[in-house]
Amino acid sequence: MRKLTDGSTSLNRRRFLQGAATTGVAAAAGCLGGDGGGDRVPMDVTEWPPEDLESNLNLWNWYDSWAEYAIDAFGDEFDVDVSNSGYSSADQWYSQLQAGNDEIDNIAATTNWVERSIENDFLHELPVDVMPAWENISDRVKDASSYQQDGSVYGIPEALVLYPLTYNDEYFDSAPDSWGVLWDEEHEGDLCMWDNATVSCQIAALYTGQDPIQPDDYDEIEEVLIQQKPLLQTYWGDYQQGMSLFVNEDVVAGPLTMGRTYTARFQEGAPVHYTAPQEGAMYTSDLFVIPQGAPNPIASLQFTNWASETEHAAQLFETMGYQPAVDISDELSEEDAEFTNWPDEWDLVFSETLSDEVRSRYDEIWTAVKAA
Amino acid sequence: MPESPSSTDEPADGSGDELATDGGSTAGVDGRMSGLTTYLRERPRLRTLAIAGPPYGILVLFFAIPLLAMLVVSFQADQIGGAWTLHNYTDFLTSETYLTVVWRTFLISVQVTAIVAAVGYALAYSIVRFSRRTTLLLLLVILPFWTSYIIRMYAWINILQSDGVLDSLLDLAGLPALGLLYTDTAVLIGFTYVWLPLAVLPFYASLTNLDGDLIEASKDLGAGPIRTFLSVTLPMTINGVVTGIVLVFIPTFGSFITPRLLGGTNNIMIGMVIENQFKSAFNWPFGAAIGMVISVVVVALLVVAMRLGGGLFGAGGETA
Amino acid sequence: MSLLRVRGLTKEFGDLVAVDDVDFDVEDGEFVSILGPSGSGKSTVLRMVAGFEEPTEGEIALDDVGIVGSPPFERDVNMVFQDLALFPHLTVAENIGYGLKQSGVPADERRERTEDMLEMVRLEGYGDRTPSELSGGEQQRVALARALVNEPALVLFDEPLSSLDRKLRQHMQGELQRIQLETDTTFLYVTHDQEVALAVSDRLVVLDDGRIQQVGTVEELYEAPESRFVADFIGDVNAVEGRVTAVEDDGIAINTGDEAVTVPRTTAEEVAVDDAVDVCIRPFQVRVESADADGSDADAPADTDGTFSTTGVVRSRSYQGSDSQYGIETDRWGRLSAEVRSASFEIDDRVTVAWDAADVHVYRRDGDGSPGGDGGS
Repeated sequence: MRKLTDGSTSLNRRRFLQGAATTGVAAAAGCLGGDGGGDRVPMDVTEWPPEDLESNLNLWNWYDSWAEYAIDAFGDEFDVDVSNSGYSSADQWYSQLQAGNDEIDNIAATTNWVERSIENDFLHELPVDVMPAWENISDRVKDASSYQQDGSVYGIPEALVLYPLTYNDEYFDSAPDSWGVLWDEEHEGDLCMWDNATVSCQIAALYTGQDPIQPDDYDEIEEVLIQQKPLLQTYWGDYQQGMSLFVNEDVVAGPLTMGRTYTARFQEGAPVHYTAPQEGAMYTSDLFVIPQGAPNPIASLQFTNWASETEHAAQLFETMGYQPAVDISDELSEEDAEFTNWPDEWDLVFSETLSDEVRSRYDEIWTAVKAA
Repeated sequence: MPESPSSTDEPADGSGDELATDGGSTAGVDGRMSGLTTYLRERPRLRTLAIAGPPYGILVLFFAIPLLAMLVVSFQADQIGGAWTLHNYTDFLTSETYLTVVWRTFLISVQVTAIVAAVGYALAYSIVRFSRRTTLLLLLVILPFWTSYIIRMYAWINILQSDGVLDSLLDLAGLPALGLLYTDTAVLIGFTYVWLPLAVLPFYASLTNLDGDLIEASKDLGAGPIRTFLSVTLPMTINGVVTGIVLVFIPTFGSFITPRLLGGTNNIMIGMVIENQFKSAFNWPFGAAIGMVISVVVVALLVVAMRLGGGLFGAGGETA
Repeated sequence: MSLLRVRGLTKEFGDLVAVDDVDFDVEDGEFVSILGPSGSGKSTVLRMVAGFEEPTEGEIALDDVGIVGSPPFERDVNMVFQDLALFPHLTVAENIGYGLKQSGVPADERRERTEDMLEMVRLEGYGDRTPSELSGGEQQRVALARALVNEPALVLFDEPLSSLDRKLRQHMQGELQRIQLETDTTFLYVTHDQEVALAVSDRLVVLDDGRIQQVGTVEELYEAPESRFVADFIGDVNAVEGRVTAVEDDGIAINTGDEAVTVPRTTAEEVAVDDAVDVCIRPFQVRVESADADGSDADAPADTDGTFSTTGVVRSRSYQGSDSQYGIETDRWGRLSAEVRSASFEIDDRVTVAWDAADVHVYRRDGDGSPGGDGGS
């Protein structure tokens, strides 16, 4: 398809290089022999720590700098040769699993794709009962249990990903308490939305008092989004671009991820903060999963546990700025602790995987809104 | 004519041996080579296969098979492996929203192609006719290709945003700021910038091949610069022009990154819709169906355009 | 009043002076050739007349109107290009009608005049073909027709025949002359090929190193070349080195070896005693006789009463129609060539070689081949 190649040259080359690199690592692993691992799967581990780790571990984790840290820290501690393939889009690893995985040991994945993977039996079940770090996972995350099915657990949460309202905290005296701020003509031209059908439609659903997972009035959602258009500067389509809008103070309010807000606030020094308005805000989780076909499943299991220890989870937070799945408040500076504190009164809605119907209606609405 | 395998094999082997004995080692290699060519010459079908096979093989492997796969997917319900259906096509073709997006994509692609063709032709023409440092200039034209597309788009964001590079320069010159980012103009600028080299290269190639004497002959025969351009320069370089237009029009029609990064709330293009089906709406069959329809539309448009272009310029002369 | 008047025409490309202070005229109905070796500036002159180059200095007037500065498409001249420059995307008829179309001639008249012109160049029925379907000679005719159909005051030719083989070239020369007469058009023809120039031209402008060497009819240039260069360039010439020993009212004494020969004053103006000179003689003016028949094989003395003479041995011969060309190794002046009608000699025959002092041209040998006397540049 010629028309899909716009700008994807770099992407393709990157994927190719990644493929070549991981193939090379896999081949090297093959040469060293399937030492220790044998045919074991994670559920075979009944006592902690697992013994006879494989000597290699191939991560797919898009927090590159944290992965760098893990390669050294985990590698030294367990004498495992760790490599990481950063990726930019979940369909990259998903198609790898579809094609029959034989190189990826551990993926940091978002909930929606984890659910799809569980449905298609692409993931190993995990023996959380024997994993010490499972106790560290906060209850709020454990309750968002879409990675657990029929009493089996297929992933260990890495982080909570909130889709908050980000705002300029110099422009606003206090955090806006309603999504309505994005429909307020007073801020005309200084607002943005996210060019993402689900996120934008769910904001509109929350704004109009509907269930964002199963709304009952699509027309109203479309109507308010069209009504909102003249007030917006743009729909941002790329995280970096979205963050720049706030850093350059082109906009004063709009949806942005918690991680980008963290980066904008503490690394770029921009006057931004985030909130969950009274209508509620969506959140999901990223999880560590071990795909079927992983050449080094036991090392991967040990890694999953290791990553959920508070020290390493805190390190992950410093890199990404998302709410860790582990309570790490003791490890954080005062301002970081303040930043990660989610008031109990926030009404957070877990972003369950949408039904095909809702997803395609959202997609149609969003296309119609942009074409309007 | 029936021929036994041995009667054709023997002379080939024989000549090889003969040359090897009296002609030394190089002749031996030649002999074996000529043995192979003789072998192929006497089997026309095999020879055709040997010559035409690799290019066709590449086409089938990298073009036909993926296209066929897309075609198959586009007739499936909801997900790959689902039931056969036409509804992906009917949904798309009966939706006013999607057709509006296609129409807008068409309009912006035509604008971009026209601007790139005009600017690119002027650039190529001045490089060919008025410059001595041709290689250097061409290198500068191609240079941006060494940088990632996304990074170049971010550079434009920096240039075009309010209080960006452009506005700062305007401010220095005492002119009002434009704040072009997130407008239609920004999208046109971004497209023009990224596709310009694609047009300049074929334009340049056809213009270098243009015999300068023909331009002089035209002027000598009483045609001014504009009429010379229209009746000699353009028709003589029409192949390069068509190539450049095709190279620009097709990727513009399928673009999704430039309008997303530089455009405002109204800059939706069909490539963005297709990308969405694959990356976030999880509706590959629908995305594949849109892709198929768009491919057919784009190819049809180009065929029509080339026919028209050929009629306008190819015949030339007396028709006007 | 001349049709074309060129005065003080100069063209510099950076430090290079391609054309240096050139003056010449072309009369209405004339066939004038600009003849010179490659690099002599002849094409640059033509391109300035056509309007493709702007002169650095000087004037060009067509019908008494200055045309310097006006663009090519406004000049009443048409050019036949060296590589013809036929439009490959147009038919023969469209090529020929191109100029008429530009000047707004209606389609009917255009078709008619194109047909007439095809007939004139003997290409009836070729109108619908494309140039690539024609032979080299046919393409020449189309290029000529394309220029002539506009009925310009002047047709310029930039060596268009140089790509043809000799036979076809001679044929096209004849055609050029016929068509020039039939159309009563003025031709200015640039070439490095003296054979073509001598065959077709009424007058010649000889150019070397950007400067005019001589302007005149073919006969004038051949019989009275004003410089060693012209003498060399227009036909063959023998040159004998000598030194001026005396300049008298009625003649100049030149020592070319042992003794001085007196040549008429008119053959060498402006030389002074002690000048080194070339004494030039055309091969056809050299007389050759058998040395034995003369009854003497001793060196014939250089005759002081108006004859140059020496002895030598025939080294080569070639037949040129009714004439024979001999290369003779002379005892006194090295190798000379002679064209002889009616006599016949064999290789290694001893001969006497002689010519009249009245037939020679004497040029001061100062290295730049300019006519003796004015001291060169």
